[in-house]
Amino acid sequence: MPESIKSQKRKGATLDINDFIQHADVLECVSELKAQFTSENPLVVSDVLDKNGNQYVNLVQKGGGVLGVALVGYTYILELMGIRFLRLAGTSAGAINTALMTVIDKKENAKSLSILKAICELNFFNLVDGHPAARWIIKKFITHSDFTSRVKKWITWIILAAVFLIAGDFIFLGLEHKFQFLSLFTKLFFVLTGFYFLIISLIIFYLARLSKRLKNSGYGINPGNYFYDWIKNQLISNEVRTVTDLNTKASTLPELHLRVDNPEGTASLKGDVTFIASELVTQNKIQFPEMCFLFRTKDQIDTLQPAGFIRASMSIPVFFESYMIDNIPCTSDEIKKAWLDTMDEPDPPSAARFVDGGMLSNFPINIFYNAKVVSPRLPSFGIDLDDSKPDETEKNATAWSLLGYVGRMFNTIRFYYDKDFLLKNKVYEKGVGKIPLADYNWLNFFLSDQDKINMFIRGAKAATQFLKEFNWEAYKNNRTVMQMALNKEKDSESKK
Amino acid sequence: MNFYLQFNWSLFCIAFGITLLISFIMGIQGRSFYMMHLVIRKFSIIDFEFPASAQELASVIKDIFSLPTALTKKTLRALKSQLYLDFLLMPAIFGSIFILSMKVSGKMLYFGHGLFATLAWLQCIAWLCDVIENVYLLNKIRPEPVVSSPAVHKAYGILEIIKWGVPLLTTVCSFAAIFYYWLTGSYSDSSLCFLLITVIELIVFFGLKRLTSKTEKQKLDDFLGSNQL
Repeated sequence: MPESIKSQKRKGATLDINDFIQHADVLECVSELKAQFTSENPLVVSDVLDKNGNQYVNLVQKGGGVLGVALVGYTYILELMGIRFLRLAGTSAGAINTALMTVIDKKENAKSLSILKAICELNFFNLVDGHPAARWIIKKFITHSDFTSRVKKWITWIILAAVFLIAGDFIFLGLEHKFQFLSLFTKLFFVLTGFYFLIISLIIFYLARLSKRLKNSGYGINPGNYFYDWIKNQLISNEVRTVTDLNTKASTLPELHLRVDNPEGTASLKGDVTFIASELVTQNKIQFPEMCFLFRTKDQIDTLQPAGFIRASMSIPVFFESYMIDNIPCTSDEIKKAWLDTMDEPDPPSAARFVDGGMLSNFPINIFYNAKVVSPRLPSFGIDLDDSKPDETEKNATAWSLLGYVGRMFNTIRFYYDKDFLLKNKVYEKGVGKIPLADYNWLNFFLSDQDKINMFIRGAKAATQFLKEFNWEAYKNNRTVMQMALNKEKDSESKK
Repeated sequence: MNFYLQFNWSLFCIAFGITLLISFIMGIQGRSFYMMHLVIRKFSIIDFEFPASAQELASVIKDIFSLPTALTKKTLRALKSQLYLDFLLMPAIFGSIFILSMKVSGKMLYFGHGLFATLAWLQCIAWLCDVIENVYLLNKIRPEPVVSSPAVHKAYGILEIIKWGVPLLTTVCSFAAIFYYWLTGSYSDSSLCFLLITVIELIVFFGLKRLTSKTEKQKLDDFLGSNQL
């Protein structure tokens, strides 16, 4: 472990990186792997190596809100076993980890500990930077499973109080004609009724203000400014200030060589980074920073802020405000051509509005697919955050609530794009490790320290399991066979 | 000075009329309240009075200065003149609530008599809070506004609660009591004409508002004028 990272604890922080990596379960994972992969039986996951013997793979990280902590546990184990990452891609929480893995240190060095340190210093609840009332409601809804029934109870009491006060007004008003002394109670009830309606009016007014505020903010509860500033600082502290800096950092590779001969050689190996975001104005999937040319002319590319790409990728709709890129020079020929060529869009927008890339591709493993490569030199690894609950009602199509029904439709659309790729290219599934996280809520920004540690352990365990089972030769063969079959199919189609 | 004061309803009608007139003018000024937060957006004086955080108040002010210079001037002129006009509104609005509460106090006996007189005098505190708020905001409005410390922001929040809470509570309790006297027929015939005047004032106010009302798009076009972006 680098000395500079050792046992650093932010002032007021309750977590230390040792709480994660020195945990008995994590140490057990490490010792299991060390026992299985010895000098006689080394771990082989790729044919691309650097001079230190590190093996290079491509890595895609799935989005999943706070579940992203588990991604760090996974990559920690991979790095510990000498695995490094050539091309990186991610969506949402996966984009955050991807960004940090790209900018921290050099490609040949392990980065997970530095990421862990950043996580220890970050109070997740600060990311929920919306109006205090909204923060309170979100917190209650997420941390109290019975909050909805509690709200129902409050509404019942409010209605009962109204009935009680109005009934009191009528009863005492009627009675005071017969019993003069009751006029005092009548006045009291009238004043209390007035007071009651004042409170109700204020609550309605306040809620109306909140909803207007939500509308003005583009239907995002939290501005996401805290996150933006945090990730921007992380990039800047690693010397990444512009898009050019980001691309340079992502593409700078150490000297690489191949374990076995491959006609492709190492010259065509390149490093890069991709963050996925969904663009709502033109309804497209955007891959940052690759598609920056859609929003700025070449000479103006560095006016875009790379932190914005990650902010765009993690803009969970409604939970966070959308991320906007405005002042797009939409009348420039260069921009017009870029939109026409890339998106078949003849009329580029002057402003683009982004929400979470997970809306379209939460697990963008397809971007590593290269049809020109027949025999792969390195695999594409993926980290899947599996939070699907083994709930019987999910299978019972007639037992869904309206919310469940809408949710199922939304998820079917949302996940099918990535699922379709994996169904057609099953070999890629062999590179995917699943972290089981069904008992965690991906929006629970109020995670306890123990939850964070537990998620990290789950990630570490999943990585351990994955490495134990991964067979590079089988992967390579399957991928080669798949590509040859596809090429054959393509050839016969072109002959026809 | 006596704790219990006697007023004529005509004074209330005058104060209430002035309140409505100034509110009408302020409403027109409010049509120029725009800021630049990615796009040109409307804001209201409530955003200044109940910001979610000290940072947010500073952000709203900064966003006003993010508009093109001519539009910033336009918004600032409207905002500042509304804050200055508010100094004129204060005696009218707090005065009318004071009179209303004192009138109710005069009709009440025992506890109610003292309670409503106390509520009436509490308007002085609300008025003072309003003055402090306006001075605070007028000082705050500058291109690089200082973000207040949490203690100052909390004090500002309490000030706003008093400023709004006291007159609202007094008004609602007074109206509830008046409603009671109306239902029990405990009112003098002479007060009916003042009730009529008040109703007419309200009709004129809402009528004028309706006559001069504009759609959000018209308001924005008026605001942008020749400065169309």
